[in-house]
Amino acid sequence: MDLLLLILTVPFAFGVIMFLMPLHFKFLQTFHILLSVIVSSLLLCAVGKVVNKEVLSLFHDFIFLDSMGAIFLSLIAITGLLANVYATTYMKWELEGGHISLREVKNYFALSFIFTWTMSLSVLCNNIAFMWAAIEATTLASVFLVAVHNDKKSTESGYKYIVLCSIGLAFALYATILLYSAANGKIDGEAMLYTNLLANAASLDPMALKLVFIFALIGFGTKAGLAPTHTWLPDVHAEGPAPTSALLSGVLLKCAMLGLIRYYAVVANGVGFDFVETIMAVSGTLTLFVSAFFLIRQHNVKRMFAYHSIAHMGVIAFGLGVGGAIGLFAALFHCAAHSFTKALAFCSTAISPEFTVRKI
Amino acid sequence: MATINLIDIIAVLMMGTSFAVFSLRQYRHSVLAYALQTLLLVAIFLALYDKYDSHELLVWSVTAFIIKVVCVPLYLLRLIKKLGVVVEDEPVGGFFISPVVALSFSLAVAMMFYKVFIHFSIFKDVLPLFAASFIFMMGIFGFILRTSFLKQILSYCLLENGIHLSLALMAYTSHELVEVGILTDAVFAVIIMSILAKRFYASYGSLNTSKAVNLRG
Repeated sequence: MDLLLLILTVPFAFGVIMFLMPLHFKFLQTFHILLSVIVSSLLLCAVGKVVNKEVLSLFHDFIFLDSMGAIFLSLIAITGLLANVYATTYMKWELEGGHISLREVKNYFALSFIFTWTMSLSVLCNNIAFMWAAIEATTLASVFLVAVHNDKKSTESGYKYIVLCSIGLAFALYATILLYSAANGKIDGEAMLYTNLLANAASLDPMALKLVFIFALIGFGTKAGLAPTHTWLPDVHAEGPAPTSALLSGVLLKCAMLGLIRYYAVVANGVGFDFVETIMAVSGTLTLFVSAFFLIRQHNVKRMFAYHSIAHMGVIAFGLGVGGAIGLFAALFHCAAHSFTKALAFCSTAISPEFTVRKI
Repeated sequence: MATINLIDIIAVLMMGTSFAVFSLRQYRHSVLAYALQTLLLVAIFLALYDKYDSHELLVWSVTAFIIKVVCVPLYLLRLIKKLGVVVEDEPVGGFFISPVVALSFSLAVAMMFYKVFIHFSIFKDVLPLFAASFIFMMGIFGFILRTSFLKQILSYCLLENGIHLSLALMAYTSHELVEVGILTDAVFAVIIMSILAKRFYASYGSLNTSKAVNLRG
């Protein structure tokens, strides 16, 4: 069976299976770790094939894995696995503390597989509209990973998350539609495929591409936490359970950034690097300053880390703004470095039932 | 010629219904206005199919009718009945000012957008393209100006209708899975927002989202 097909089906199937499992915590805990290891192994196998210069594609290039995607897929595999393993212990403490029911724990484990599935799909989609749908699906899959409890704060964070991300991503869908209509009939092959768009970007209308990039920046920038549409991030990261915050900050923000990088590449090939680099440098600098301003006023540890994540997304955007081989390498390297360190930072806010850091 | 006029008339009616969804105070009336708008969306798909012989839009009209004209409004009406809410809370700027602000700004933004979109659109129909941008912006302003969670769900539905119309006019030739993916996301978004609205009502005793101030800072 094709490896990409396995990646497209197995995490979703595991999510459904987990929903059907009996309410026995020890069993759920072991099963969750086992399934997480299988999912991450599949993802890393695909990454390994790309490292060995194999070309992975499926359904006439509708789904593909390139070297850029492989970097982000490895983040889903490694950070995702570590956060999922940590989640089993965290949920045990929550269960023992009476903060959560066993059914809610089971649903949490099941949803985390659906979330991994949507993130993997967003990385693997060559069709840009389906990539958008997958990124939007990451929001939908993770709402109840954030709003785990039924209290006011939890509900408020879930509300802000879905509303702000849905509005933001609507602009990204407009970017997608505009890019398709600008390319349709002007390039050979399917105008929705990223690889075709990238290869033929020079033949696209420059004004349309500039507008596309601005829409894409608003859309994917909202999801990636770039200022000024970053406001959902502190509330959601701070209110969700620590493993959810680790997954959101460590992996999800990077998946949205990959969406933006895909548009960055197409538009840069069409209108030149100066335009996209200038916009990314301005966006990155603005994000850095805004997040730093709010960061110094925080006392809640998770909110501090959330603003810190925004600052680092600003650094990544600034790296893309610098451009060239060094700038792009720095941006991608920082994606990986921030994924591991920030996930660990969020997990360290709750290292035992007695030691849960809230304020400093 | 008759078909061309029909498309323009439906586009204008869609704009009118988006204003109604935004402005009507009673939730039930807003949902019915949304159902009517989606019915008009289905009609515009059929009119475009008739005019340009685009078979894809015939399929789109069937799926849109089942999901958006029947299922989503019924689901929202059930939610309203379950919560027992009738009239929304006072929005930002009041019941009179907020529709005026939304209408004027949406018209202005749509005037800018459609001139760009028409250069690249597959179908060069001016009024539907204008209507698509207008409905999208009415949805955006619904989120900004209306403080009721239910009205914000309806605003999302408006926004989604605007995008659906843009997709039909500008990218109906794309892979069929694209429409399926976008529509699936929209349906799940409505369901998830509805669950959150129920939770919100249980926590705050109201659907007024301006009361959600616990996480500021």
